[in-house]
Amino acid sequence: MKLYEYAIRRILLMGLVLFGLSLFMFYLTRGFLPPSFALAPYITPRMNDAQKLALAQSLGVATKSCASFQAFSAFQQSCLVPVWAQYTQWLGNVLSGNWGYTLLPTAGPAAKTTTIFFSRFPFTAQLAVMGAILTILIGIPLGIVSATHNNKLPDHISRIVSLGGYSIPQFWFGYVLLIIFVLYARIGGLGLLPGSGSLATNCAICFANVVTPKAVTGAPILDGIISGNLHFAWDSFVAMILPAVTLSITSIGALTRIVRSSMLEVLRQDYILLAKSKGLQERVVIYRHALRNALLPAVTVAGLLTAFLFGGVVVIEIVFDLPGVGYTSLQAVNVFDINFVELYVLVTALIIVVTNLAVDIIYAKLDPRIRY
Amino acid sequence: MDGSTQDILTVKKLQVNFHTFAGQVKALDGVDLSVKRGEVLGLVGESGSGKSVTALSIEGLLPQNAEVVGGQIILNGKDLLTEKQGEIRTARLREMAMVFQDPLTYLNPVLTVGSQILEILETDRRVFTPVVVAARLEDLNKAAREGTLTEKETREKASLEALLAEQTLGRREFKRLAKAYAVAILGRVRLPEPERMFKMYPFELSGGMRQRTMIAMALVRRPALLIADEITTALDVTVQAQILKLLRELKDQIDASILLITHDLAVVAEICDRVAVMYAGNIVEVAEVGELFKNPLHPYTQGLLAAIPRPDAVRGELTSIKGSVPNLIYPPSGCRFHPRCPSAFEKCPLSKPPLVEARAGHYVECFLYGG
Ligand SMILES: Nc1ncnc2c1ncn2[C@@H]1O[C@H](COP(=O)(O)OP(=O)(O)O)[C@@H](O)[C@H]1O
Ligand SMILES: [Mg+2]
Repeated sequence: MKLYEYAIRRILLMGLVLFGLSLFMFYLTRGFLPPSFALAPYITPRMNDAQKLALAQSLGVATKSCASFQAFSAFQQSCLVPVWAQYTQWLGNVLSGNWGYTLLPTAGPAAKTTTIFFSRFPFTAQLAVMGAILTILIGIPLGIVSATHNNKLPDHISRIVSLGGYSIPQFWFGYVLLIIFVLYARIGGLGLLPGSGSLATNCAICFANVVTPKAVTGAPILDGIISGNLHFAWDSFVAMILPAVTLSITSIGALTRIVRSSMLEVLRQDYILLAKSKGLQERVVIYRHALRNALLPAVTVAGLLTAFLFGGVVVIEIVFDLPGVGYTSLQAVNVFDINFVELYVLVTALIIVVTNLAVDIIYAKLDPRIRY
Repeated sequence: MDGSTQDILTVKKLQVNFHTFAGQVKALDGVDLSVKRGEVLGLVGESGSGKSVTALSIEGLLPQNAEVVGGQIILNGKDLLTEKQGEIRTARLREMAMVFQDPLTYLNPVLTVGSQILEILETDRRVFTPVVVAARLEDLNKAAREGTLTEKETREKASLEALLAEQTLGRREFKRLAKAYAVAILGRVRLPEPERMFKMYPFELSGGMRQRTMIAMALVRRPALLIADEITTALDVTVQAQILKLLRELKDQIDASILLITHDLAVVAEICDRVAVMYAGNIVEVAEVGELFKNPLHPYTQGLLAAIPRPDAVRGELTSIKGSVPNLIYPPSGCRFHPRCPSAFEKCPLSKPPLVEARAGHYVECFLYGG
């Protein structure tokens, strides 16, 4: 089978996964909550009861024969539509992009769910991507050094770092970093790094009074670069340092341990002995012969780590007071904004399935024995 | 058994221990061995007698829990045990090559056969430039003799001849010639369609083909010493015969000395010039092959040979001597063979017998012959 055929098959399968997930989520929200919750995202403040009833009927939440909005609100049998029938209506709506209005109190009246979601999502993606980059840039080399200096000082240090990273609660580590880099490390009366927010305004290494450029991608660092406003890009980057470090410590710990153990395993293999017997340099033996094989198990957990990073942003956004979609979704749960939560879950799920697809393709590229 | 200069390799009193949880495994107990230039020396012994450990000691590739307690390993006049790591690596690249037992696990699964050969040449371009240039020139000269040289090839020939004097080659040019040379070597080890083999992954090859590629990896370096550790053991009987045939062919073509490790006396009888018999970490007897089969002196060797009714007909597995291989954590005192020896007498457990030349060129480590 060709690679693209395999990709197409996997993409169809991905559609199936997302469909199943949406069905499951839908049942959890509609099957157990009163039908008025399903209506809530679509109501605007000035609607009267007749309009609300018409809306409920057009959304497929109330039957056509439902007498009044009061009857609907009181769950009268004649007004109730079975959950499966509601699902097809809902699916039609959301597939055409109609996710209704968000119920978030901070969003203001008649703010569209999608508008709020996608204005905050890029920020979260930026944070997660930075976390992923840090994880890879630190986790892999640390794992290699640990394995090649097995039971020597670098290994001990790396093991302490990875075990620590793996077991320290992120929010606590975040506050420790804040105390160190904002309160203690001060230069000229300013903290070395900014304490909170998406833009570094009051810190020793950031620019003062930068102009905020027009949002293009929604990810501040990118926007700054695109608009040529490098001061803004830098300040946004500086503001991301502590959050990204905090976000990635757990995954760095996990990846280091995986790379270390698989590297140790690979270094024991016969083909490493042959590579050495051929007179190759140590560097070639490690990076060409061992690393490629040792990365295979690490690549397989990349999907898992992505899920972990996207899940982890919620806490980070709270600790560092960042305008991302993770914290917003938490608030959405509190106000029963079910459409917002569903959008969040589905987009996150989409990212994870796409990562897994990428992982499978990379895996096949790394290991010629894999056939699609 | 003096370290005369006609020896490519001399191993003297080599002692190797392994540190294990159960205790110290005294795997090599003063191994004496020499390989003359151009000869094939067979090293035989039961499984566990220390053949592989000897080979790995020579290569400087003992595992981390091993410790060389004493001795010398002199390759081409240099004592490898006192050399720096970098020097030993260079020796592995240029002077010796090892072919291992199981061709599946010793090839890197994610790299093509070709790249696993090319990387050897690319490790030291300066050293291998004359080799790859000469190989290409040989081809071109052959074509010239046959009169099939194209104009482009004639120009290439002239420029390569000039190059041979200067010995410098651009990176891309080197790579092109190295590839051609590697493909030629794959042909030399009788792999079908060497061009295609070059791009294959190990898992796409049969056991015999893999063993041939491993041999190619050794040949490509033109080693002075080739160590072959049970290279036919993991293969089917028919494939074994093919690989042995190849080895016999190559033996005459290349000017490498070969240390052929095996537990199969039939193999020894077929291709070796001399043979060393190993028992529990000692070389107990060394002689010309014909001499050893005719006149085995050591009781252990006699037992081995007696176990094979006719050496040319039966492949003898070396297991038919009474008793079993000793535990090397608590090895027997004196001669390590004495508990199993039918001719043991009171002197045997007391001290280790010296290696004596009992007949011309026939050495034995046994008190029956003096010492
Ligand atoms: N890595 C190791 N750790 C401990 N003991 C070992 C190790 N490798 C080999 N030995 C011991 O060294 C002795 C010789 O082994 P080896 O050279 O592999 O025998 P063979 O003659 O079959 O090649 C055996 O007793 C074996 O148990
Ligand atoms: Mg062995």
